[in-house]
Amino acid sequence: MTGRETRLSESAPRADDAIPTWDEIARTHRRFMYSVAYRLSGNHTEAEDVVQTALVRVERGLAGYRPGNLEGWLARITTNVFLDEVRRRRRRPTEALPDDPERVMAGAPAADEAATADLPDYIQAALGHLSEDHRAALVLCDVIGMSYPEIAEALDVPVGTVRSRIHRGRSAMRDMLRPHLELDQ
Amino acid sequence: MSTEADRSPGHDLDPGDLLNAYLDDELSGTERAVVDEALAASPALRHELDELRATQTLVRTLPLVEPTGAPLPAVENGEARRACSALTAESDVADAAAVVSLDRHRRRHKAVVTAIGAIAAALLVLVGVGATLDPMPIAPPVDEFAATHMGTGGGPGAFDDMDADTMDDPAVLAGLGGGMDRMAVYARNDLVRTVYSDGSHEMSVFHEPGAVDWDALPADGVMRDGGAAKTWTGVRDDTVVAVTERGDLMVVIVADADMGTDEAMTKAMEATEMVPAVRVERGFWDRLSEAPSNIVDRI
Repeated sequence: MTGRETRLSESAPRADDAIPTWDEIARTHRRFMYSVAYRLSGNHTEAEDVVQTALVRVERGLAGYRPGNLEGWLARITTNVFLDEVRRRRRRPTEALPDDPERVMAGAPAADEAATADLPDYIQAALGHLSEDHRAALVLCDVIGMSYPEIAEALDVPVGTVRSRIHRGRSAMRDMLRPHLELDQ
Repeated sequence: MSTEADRSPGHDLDPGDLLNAYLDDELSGTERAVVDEALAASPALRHELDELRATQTLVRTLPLVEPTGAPLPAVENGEARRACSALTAESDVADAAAVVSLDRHRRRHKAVVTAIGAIAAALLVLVGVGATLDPMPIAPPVDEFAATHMGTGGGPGAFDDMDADTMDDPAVLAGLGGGMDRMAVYARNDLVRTVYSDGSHEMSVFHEPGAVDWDALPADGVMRDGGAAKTWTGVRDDTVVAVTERGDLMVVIVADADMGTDEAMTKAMEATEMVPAVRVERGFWDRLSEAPSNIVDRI
């Protein structure tokens, strides 16, 4: 992983040899991690859960953290927590059943709607139509600003697969967002 | 930066497939030269590059998102870590409770289904309707398969990730990618999806025990009945879809159309030729256990 700052970075660049404390990460980078989680999940409730779990992994992983691109490392952990959760749900689906009122009432859409009122919803909605694998690669590339080798390392897949997923993901986004594209003539 | 080693030797470079990596400055010198040359000669390709660049710009405008939950308490006092751990533990407990509740619901549902199945099976044996034991023909959902392949269909929970090395599935182990690398295997009940890639294109091979209901396939495809196997081929979204049978398996290949319709069709057909003629061993009790659902389906 290179030491370049991520695209969403809002914190001052750190010295490469500085190892942050967990509290410092939780205080300074939680908004960044939350943004990554929200871009991946498209859901505030799920994003909160992903960040909480990711922060626990950060605590466990800090001992082995090598100074460098801190937000790249945090994006990697957050993305993998999200993908792990997606896989866990596939193994153990918990969708609401029509005759189970407790499950049907779960969730709080009103809070989500209020929180996203001023965001470009059509972009997030288009991201939500991609498969999780394509979305993760595209978010790490275009939202976070990671290189293909960094994404390959983060997702534990070959660089060729990253290239393929980004090609397919961005091409699909282009098709969905075409009415909103502003082309230089 | 990707290298030539990431791709299959001899793979012809299609500039259109390289545009996104070109945009991201992730091409080798040779690949970049190929794209530059193609861009100079093709206004359509330049337009496509402009569209992709505009798409990238749009996605990059996505701002940071403010967390909606309560901020972590008292970070300065070192309490945030404990709060975080507590929240995670609470989440696990709540999740476990939901799963327990759902499991209980499923157990009740399963008991009812089992009872109905047992009665239906007993009736079957009594009246001797052996003909209903034959497997039901499958109408391949080609549109769903194409959407799944393109990543625009099938929500979370549609397929499970599988470990190919532990599946002992001849159709998976045969390696149907025609030189492409096997990237992943997914399963949904008896339906298995194997994904192959050469770095630029992906191909999905779906297979499931059963016979193809040829009459149920869309009329806009091409039916061929000759040679090694009967096939149906058609174009769906940006994919070429081929349906065939091998042994007791229904096989559906979905290949990217942007590798060229002819090449995609050739790849798909080569893949169908390579599928081993698997005979699914089904015991008497397996067949009997399917009978109730067959009856319900027919009702």
